[in-house]
Amino acid sequence: MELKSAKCLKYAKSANIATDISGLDQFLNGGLQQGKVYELVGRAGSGKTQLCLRLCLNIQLPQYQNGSEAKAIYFDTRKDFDPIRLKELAEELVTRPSVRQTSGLLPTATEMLRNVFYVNCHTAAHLVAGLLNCYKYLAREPNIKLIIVDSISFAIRSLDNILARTELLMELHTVMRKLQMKHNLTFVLTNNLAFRRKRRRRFELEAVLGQKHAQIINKRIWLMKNGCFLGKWSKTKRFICKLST
Amino acid sequence: MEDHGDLQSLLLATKTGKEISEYHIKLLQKQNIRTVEEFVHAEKLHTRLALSNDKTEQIKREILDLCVRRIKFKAIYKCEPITYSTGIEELDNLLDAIGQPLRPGRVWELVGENDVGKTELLHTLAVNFVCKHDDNQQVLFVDTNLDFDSERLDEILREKQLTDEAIDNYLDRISVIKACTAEALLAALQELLRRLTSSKGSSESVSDIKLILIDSLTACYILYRSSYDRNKGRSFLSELTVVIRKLAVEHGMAFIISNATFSLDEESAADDDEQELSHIGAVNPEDCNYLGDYWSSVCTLILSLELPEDSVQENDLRVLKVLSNSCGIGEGSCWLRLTDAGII
Repeated sequence: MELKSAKCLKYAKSANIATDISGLDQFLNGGLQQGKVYELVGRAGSGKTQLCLRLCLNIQLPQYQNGSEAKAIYFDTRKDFDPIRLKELAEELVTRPSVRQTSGLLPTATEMLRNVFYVNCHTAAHLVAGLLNCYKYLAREPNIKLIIVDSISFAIRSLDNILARTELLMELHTVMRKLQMKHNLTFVLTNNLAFRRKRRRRFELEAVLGQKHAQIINKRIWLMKNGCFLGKWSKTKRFICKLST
Repeated sequence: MEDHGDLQSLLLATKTGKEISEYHIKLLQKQNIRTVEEFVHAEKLHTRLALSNDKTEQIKREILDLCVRRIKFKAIYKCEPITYSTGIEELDNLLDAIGQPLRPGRVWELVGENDVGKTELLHTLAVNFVCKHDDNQQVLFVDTNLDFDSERLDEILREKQLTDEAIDNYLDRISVIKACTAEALLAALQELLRRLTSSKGSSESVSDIKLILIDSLTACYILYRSSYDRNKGRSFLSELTVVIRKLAVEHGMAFIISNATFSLDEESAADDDEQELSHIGAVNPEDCNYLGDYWSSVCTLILSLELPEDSVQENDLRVLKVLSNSCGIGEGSCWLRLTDAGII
């Protein structure tokens, strides 16, 4: 049994991963915390993938830049990953004035790209296999601290049988939990929104994959047209900031 | 021989029992009747003792009376009614009204849909507990969903306008255990029990733990999929109950256990995700509580945190309702508000 006091935990904290959405970063004390499961939801084209790519780069920043000098794995189920876009973002990050001023040992854009590992998953089975193999990658590269799954709903919803979906989803979560307990990883999943029928025939936009999934993830970030929200359901979500594009 | 002495003294303490002679007591000894229980259950006692039936029955009745009263007195002396304040005024009023203040040894359950603020409430309670109760009483936060956030505690404390030193001091008294599976949760509590029993009297820090917050019990079932696994989860649950009871009764710890409920949608499932829920099977259609009847008898007070109905604009108001209360009034509710300073 590991008893830790909250004080120790407070001081033992490693740096958060900045999202570069200023309002959100402010609200989350600098970004995504390590060791939690985050979910990004939003409609198509709301910038989920872009944010994922950004996170892959921001985690590599050196410690004095509020980064954690770690590496990332990117699980892609939709072939959305675009290395050219990632390179653009990396170049933009390196040349950013706030980053450049203090640059001493700053990694170059190409180096940054080398620290993002890419796993292509055509099907849900590939995704499970990929996550199960994570411990191998982690053994080779112990500095991996961020795992991105873009998008989890696409993989899950490509299955026809609903029972199989639940099974698979829970399997994924079990695997992720195990990895998380061992390595203190941050997970970022992306998910879709769909209209769901509510009382009195009203339709409301909700994230898919059901309530059990929502229970397991720690925070859900909504990227919407009218701003950025935090919260698991459209009823309980709170407005955080406007999104500038 | 102590038992016999006990019986003898008890006999002599009763009114009719005084009338029996030394001879009868020796007879009892011979017949191997040494305890009150044996005395009451002995067959044909009146023939054995050569007393009238009426008289033996009278003695039995009086002796039982005496014993039962003894237990009552003992119980009353044992519990010193210390009442913990939750630090949330509305909640304290509600608990007062239903006659269930938070006391050592209480086991409560807090249910609610996910994202309604259960974890937030537990964070607030943890902070309030260490702030209100000095003399080193500690809180143990059992984290099963990795939701614990020390920064959040820090924020809540900062809202109370405390110095950094005081904040650290308070934070030091909140301990956290990560336990992501039912096995780990059970193991952790058993370990705690073991340490408590082995280190009686010594000044180890575990003995200062007075309040245990478990967030949340979903770990016992959420990752179990097959029916075999689900039964395993249930067996964990009953073992867990035993440990919780022991900790509560023997060591006077108060428990607040949070648990998620999953609502089935009002209308027949419109999206495929609803159907997933109905396939899980263990759902009790009435309250959608996963854990069955046995579990609902464990907690003496079940509170449910809900979103108020017809709330359109304000989404930081919550209703806390009493779902069931095994001693006292079973109804009541109060309003709570989510703020930066926790829940008030």
